[in-house]
Amino acid sequence: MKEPAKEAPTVSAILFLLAGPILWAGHLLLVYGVQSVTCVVGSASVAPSALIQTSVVLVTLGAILLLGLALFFPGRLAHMLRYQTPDRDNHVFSVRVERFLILLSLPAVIWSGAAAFLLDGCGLSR
Amino acid sequence: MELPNPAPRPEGEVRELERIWATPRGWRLLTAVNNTVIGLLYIGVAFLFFLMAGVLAMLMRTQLAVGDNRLIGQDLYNQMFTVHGTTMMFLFAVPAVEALGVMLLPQMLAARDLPFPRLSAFAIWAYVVGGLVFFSTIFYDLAPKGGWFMYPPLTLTKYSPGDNADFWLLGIGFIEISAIAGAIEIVVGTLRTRPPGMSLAKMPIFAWTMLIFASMIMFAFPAVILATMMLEIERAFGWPFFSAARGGDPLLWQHLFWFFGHPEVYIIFLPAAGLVSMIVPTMARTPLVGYHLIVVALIGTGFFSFGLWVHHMFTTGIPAMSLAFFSAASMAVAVPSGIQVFAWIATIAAGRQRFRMTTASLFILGFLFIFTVGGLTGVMVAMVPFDYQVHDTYFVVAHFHYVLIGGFVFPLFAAFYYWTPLFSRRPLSERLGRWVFWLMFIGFNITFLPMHMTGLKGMPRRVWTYPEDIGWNMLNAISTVGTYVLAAGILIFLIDLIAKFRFGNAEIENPWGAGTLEWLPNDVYCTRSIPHITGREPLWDRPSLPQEVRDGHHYLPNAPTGGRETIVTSPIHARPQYVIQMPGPGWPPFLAAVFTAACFLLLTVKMVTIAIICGALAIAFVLVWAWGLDPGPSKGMIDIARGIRLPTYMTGPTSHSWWAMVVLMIVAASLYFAYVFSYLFLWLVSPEVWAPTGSPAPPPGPWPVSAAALLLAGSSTIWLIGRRLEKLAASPVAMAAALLLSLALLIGALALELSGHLTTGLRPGDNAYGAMVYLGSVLFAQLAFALTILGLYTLARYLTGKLDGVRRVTFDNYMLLYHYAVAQSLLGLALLHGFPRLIG
Repeated sequence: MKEPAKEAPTVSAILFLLAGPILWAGHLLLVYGVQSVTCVVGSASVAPSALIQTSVVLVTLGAILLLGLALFFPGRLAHMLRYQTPDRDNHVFSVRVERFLILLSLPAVIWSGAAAFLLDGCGLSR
Repeated sequence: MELPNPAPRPEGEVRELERIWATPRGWRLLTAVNNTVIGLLYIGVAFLFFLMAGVLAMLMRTQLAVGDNRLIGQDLYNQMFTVHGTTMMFLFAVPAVEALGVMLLPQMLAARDLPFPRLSAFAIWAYVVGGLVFFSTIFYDLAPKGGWFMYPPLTLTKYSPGDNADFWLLGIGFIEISAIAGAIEIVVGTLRTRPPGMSLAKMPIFAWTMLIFASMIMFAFPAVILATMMLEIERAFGWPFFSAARGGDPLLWQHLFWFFGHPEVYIIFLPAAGLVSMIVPTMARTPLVGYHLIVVALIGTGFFSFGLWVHHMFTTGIPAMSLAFFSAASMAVAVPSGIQVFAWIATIAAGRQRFRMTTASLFILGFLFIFTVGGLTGVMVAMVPFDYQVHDTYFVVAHFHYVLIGGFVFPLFAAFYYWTPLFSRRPLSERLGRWVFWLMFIGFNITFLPMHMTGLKGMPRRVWTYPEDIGWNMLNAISTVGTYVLAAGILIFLIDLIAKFRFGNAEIENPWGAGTLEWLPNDVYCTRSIPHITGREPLWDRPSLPQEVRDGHHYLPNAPTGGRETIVTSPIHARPQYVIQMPGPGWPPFLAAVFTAACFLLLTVKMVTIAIICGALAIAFVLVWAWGLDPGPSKGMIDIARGIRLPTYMTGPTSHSWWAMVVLMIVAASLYFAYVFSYLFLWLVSPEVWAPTGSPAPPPGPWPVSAAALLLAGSSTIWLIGRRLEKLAASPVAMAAALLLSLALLIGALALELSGHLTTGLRPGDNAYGAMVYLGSVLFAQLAFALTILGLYTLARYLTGKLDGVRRVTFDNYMLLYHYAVAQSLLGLALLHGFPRLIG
């Protein structure tokens, strides 16, 4: 027996509900990774701070854009991920959770990205 | 709502359920797997560890009561704070949460039991044996002394000779494996054994928190398992992962440890928050305000907690911008925690009737106060300049005790008072409970509030004494008095517990008038029938539900397969999919746990031969236990209600065993990503020891290409067997040859990879690069070893007629793990052979 009552793939549900935190995690991984690696391997010919600041700003803008799209167009994201919730209760629940999680993730991304404007790329704070 | 089973039920069904789910008696109690029995054992032992670690805390506070005290020597003090912290975190907090999950989840989900009861029993016995042996080391001067986070280089052999540190590394590594076993049970149980109709949007908050808790374990624990492996390998064989002189870096330990250690705080706190979210609505007699927001807050906290680990390393010399990323995340995590606090306050305020002030309510209010204070000091230490000032002082000790005792111990005591009637014939005393609360609350604040000041005055953590004339005497003396007041509260609780707790069902079924399913009429088989759920507080929505369930008018009111069973539903909408047949009591999980614990502990004291024998026995008992787990489709379809027939056997992606294997693969992948991170981190720190300039270049291209070809051939073989299992089942020689070929290809790839590196002259002890290269082979070998056993077991089942085209769960598990092993190994080949060429 392999095919009982089917529903949307669980992976789709996870990706849809957690779109915000996943983008936040991707943003943190990229900005921290780029900054750490550049500080260690950067040479005198490439100013590490400028490279880091540009990268952090670009990655942050990209993350904000994606978060904005997921926030304002949850239906499209659900369609793209093939996540369907036929009953109203679950639909409302899913969209609310997805949107609120994005609203939590958005300031966290902006907060992290703001560091590029405030601090030197590789300097120590003491 | 129309009842699923409206007709009166035939007589004898309840007696049959009682017979099937009966708890073994006498010595055979050790074989019990019922969630209520092993859950009680689990929470009981966790509480015992809490008491023992608490006694250590009292002794330490007595030592610190006055300056220049010589009551306890420095070496013993070091052992005491290490065992205190380790026990509280690893042997009390996480196991207590898993115990609550095992005890309460089946009741809250109205499932007869969680899907892998023997796995739960194994995890619990492994923890009991391993934990007791670990704790006993304090009595033999064998306890570790490096603090609960065991930082190298202090814990390397040079500075920590003897077996003390090994007891931590092997003992705790082993207990983490037990925690992961519990997490697999909880993830699959929460997602697949909910009652029909209980979609994600209707799941109790405690189930949400347990799901997030277990998911966090899947990602957090592998990092520290890898770290403990690396440190133990360095101590035993000299592979220099953490020795700076040979390209290692002690900071790697801190990264790996805190990638686990910070989420660990939330791993403990979130389920406690779940307990609060269950108790508050009952006492306020109104549904939880902001259910959706609380789910959001729980998920958000779980995620953000993985982006905070560097805030434990603010003073290690990391660039300021990196610190800013983690400082931002540390402050961001306060937002979802705040959402929960406001939702609880709003629920208390929203009740039309007055909030009932029971002992459980008092502990909840105490939690709100203490946890909020701990949260505020958390925001303070999230600010880098402030953290520089208070790092490693008593301010931090005060902060994390406010968070952990406030955030976990107080809700746990609330849970004890609230849920005891579910498991005991008599409830705990409300009168004594108030004494317990006030003594604990006052004692706690007398102990830890002054510690903020002690820390600001500069007293460092982990000092066994201090000069009498330095101005810390009064604050320390007050803290010590507080500890005794706190202990007095716990002592009264213990006396009350011994006097009142008697295993069995209370006379009053729902003493608090709660709305959730655990308060349905219960027995050893959980509920007589499994209800159809239409809301979040089913007992409030439908007051007749307890009687309907008791009369068997809902799903599965009997035992149609003649054994232990429950309904498996779909993960999102909880639609009935099949009936799972579960194993009953048996010796194998108990014996497997005892021999596994023995294997690890004997390895610690270097009794290698006996350890290997114990390891082999543990594997043998696991195989004996697994032999009966794939019953096949012989029971056919059964009725669970009027008009609903379900299969009693399932394979493929819908089956619970497939889900468990996927969870296990995620754990393995997490561990491997921690390895990849470690490899790249050490390269960043010590590029001078890396190939091709600092070490021998990787073996020539044909070596990794041949290994990759063998791996892909192995995967193809497995894929072909899977496709043609029905046909192959008729040909024993072809089937056996194909399975053995798949194993040979895997082991061949491992041998090629290993010998390729050996031919270059690289050795693991040379430098950090060599150590990381051979650690890759160790991780590959672990999977190959597991697959060899699983492959031979699959073959044995086939040869004994227990595996064919339909009854194929064992093969499916082998197939999944095999494909995963190939994917991981290909990634490893790309990293170990490609990266040095890329940078060369």
